[in-house]
Amino acid sequence: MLRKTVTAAALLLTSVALLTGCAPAQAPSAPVLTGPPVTGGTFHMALASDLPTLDPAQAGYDATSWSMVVAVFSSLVDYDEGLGVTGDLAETWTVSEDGLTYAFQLRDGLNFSDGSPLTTDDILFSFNRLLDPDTASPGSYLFSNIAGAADYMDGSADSISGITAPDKSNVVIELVEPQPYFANILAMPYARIMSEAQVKKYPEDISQHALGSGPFTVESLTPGQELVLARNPAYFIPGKPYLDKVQVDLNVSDQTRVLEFQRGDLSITDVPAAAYQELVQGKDFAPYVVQNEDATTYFLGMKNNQAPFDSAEVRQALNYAVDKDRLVQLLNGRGTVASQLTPPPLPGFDPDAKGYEHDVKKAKDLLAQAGYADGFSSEILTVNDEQSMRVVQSISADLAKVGVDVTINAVDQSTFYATVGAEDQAPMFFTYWLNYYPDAYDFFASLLLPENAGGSNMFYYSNPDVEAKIRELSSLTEGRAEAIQALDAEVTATAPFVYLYHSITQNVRQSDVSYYIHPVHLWRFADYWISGE
Amino acid sequence: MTLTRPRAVVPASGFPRFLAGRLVWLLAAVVVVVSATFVLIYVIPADPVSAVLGGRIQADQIEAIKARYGFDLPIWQQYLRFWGGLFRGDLGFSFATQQDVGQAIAARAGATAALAVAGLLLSLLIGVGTGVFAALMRGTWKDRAAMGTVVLGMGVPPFLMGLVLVFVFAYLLPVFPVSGYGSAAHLVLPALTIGLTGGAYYARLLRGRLVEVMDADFVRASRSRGMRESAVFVRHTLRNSFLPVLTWMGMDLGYFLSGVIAVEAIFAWPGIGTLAYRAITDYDTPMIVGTVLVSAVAIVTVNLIIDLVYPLLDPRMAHR
Repeated sequence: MLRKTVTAAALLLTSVALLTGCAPAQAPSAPVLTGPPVTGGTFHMALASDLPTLDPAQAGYDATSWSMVVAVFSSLVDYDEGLGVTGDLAETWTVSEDGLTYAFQLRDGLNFSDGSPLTTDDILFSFNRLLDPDTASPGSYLFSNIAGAADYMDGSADSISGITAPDKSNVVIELVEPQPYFANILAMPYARIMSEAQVKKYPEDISQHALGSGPFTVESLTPGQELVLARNPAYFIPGKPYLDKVQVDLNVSDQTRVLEFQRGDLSITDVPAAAYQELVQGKDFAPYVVQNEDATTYFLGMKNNQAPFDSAEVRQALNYAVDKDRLVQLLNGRGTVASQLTPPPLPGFDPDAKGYEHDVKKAKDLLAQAGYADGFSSEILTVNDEQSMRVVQSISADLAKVGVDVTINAVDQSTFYATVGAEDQAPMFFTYWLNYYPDAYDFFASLLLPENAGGSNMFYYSNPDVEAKIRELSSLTEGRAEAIQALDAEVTATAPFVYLYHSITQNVRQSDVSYYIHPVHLWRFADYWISGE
Repeated sequence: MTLTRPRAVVPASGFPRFLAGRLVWLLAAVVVVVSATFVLIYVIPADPVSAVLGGRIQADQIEAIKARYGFDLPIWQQYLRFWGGLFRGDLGFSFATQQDVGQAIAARAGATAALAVAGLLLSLLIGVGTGVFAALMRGTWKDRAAMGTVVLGMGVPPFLMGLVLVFVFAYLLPVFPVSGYGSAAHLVLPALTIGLTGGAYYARLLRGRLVEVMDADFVRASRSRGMRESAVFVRHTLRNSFLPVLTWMGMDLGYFLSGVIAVEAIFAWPGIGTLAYRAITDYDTPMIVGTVLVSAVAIVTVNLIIDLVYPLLDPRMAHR
């Protein structure tokens, strides 16, 4: 009851903020629980997207694959209900003083959901498969700090020397350099443990025959249509999961999801923009809104190596030119203004960071200093969904006020991602970064390191001083949060992009569904239950 | 209303030659369609891996993954590889959905066929019923009312019709499921969407033709020979008016078998249409080529069958 009140209060604040035109108060992301856990029942949800794969190594960067892989497969360590990392297949683990050796003590009697034993061989196999060049996993690079990984990945070694099993209940991972967030990387979907026997039986279509040791097992997967998960009877945490079944309908349109939720067919739904008033502000569902402050930062990117964006003054000017509060209003208050790269949920976020206020005069002065007193014209590439279009139109109106005349190039998502990184295309673009693991290093390294130029460094940002500090941050254990704040302030001053906002996700649940949005894995079915009132 | 579609010509020299000719034509159509699709893919210089991972990981990793799936090869090599695979019964691998293209299409063929057949049957039922009614009532207010409704049906796009049906029959009166696939109840609203929008064409087509034939000399002759009116209508008028309907059916069925995207999308119907649509938006080239190929084969095959049926309705055609 207390938590319901908190949600309602947050909503109230959001609406007040909307009326007064300032950013809403930060939303709590605590689980919404109704009474003590109840065992049984089916959790039913529908997604606009498809489920690309249940193969952990092939999970791309889409929320659907991540959540479903996590429901079916276990890892050495995993997230708790928040950003904390806790033992999963490993009962406990220790990190050596130099931060280079991770020793995992496994639980006793681990089994896959078909009853076959899960051994250290399966664990070693899963890591070797993940990094095998032939697997071509989009996540393999995250593990390149494991000793021997580089040799294995370029084919000069037959296996990863840094992962060993001294006996049947211990696994040891050696790193090349300390990596304070290494446990977070292990908790990603990629390093989930697969059954060696099963993978060898179905080498071509393991996604259709996913066999793991997670809380759920795949009852049926009809590609493009639905995924049905059933409780894993052999799950190693007694009493969990609470749900008997999880049904996920795929490729369901916005209108249909909302209608099915209103009919009571679905346990939860996301809130498409068109349904915002009805679901979030209407009296029927408002008490059951669940929200999560996402670890995202939305920005207006610029090609930093090309005129006029090679001038820091121009980039700073555009930061002053854009009215960020207005953007948050356009999102129905589902966001907070970004004054730094690190989003609010992550350690190192600085609530007092200044960022760039909306100041048209300053913007004009800076443009004049840079030699663009009369402005210039450019083009913004954006995905053509309704919300992006609204945001980009508002930005374009703001830029026009300082003499920057932009045309909007709205394309579908695939075209956007296929072209945004090209050096000679997309001089400006609207997109975001969502954390792969909850450490600000992910934001700095992915977006700003020169080796990622053309990939995740879509800006071709290059700043030797910032680069050195990012590399230092990689292995820094002492004073990490302070270092992140200092680095963030320095990066903000160089204005690699226009800082826009951090998003807030809202879902609506049925009154009897205990549900929360996990900050990294989104849906954590193992923690949900239906009280069946 | 005259028939503009070139009719099948079965030469006197025999049926086997006709069939062989048609099969060659089918193969040629497939080659042309696949080649044209490859040209289009070449014109749009993007690949499935960049479309999914571009801007998200390092550029050289994207290159490595492209190489793993052969998307780094020149387009002509990819083209040859496709034909090589096709001869082994392999349509390739879809990167975006991580599945075998042939299996993905096969898994959806049933849903597409069910919707195509049910949708066509409802179109015919509604269209032929309305068309015959209007023709019999020609010139009266009932004719005008029926044809007015038909024009409305033709004007409403399927996605709107689908949404209206969902709102009425799944939300206001929760008789049918909102969306999904699996039972006969799931089929009703999507098939009705096709039936209501598609039936209108048949109604107009058939009414026009019926009114024309009703005044034809041979019909009047039958009537004057004392044949009962109902027999005249069924044996002469209707039969002679049905050829354009059959032609239209052939085109519809071929089109439905390649997936009715709008209807599939509204009802989350797991058919080939949404598969193709997603493939296009994902730059999933092997899936694009696969679905285009299957659609081409479906359209050509259905037209072949229709050509074989013509002579049964109109014996004159067998002798021409």
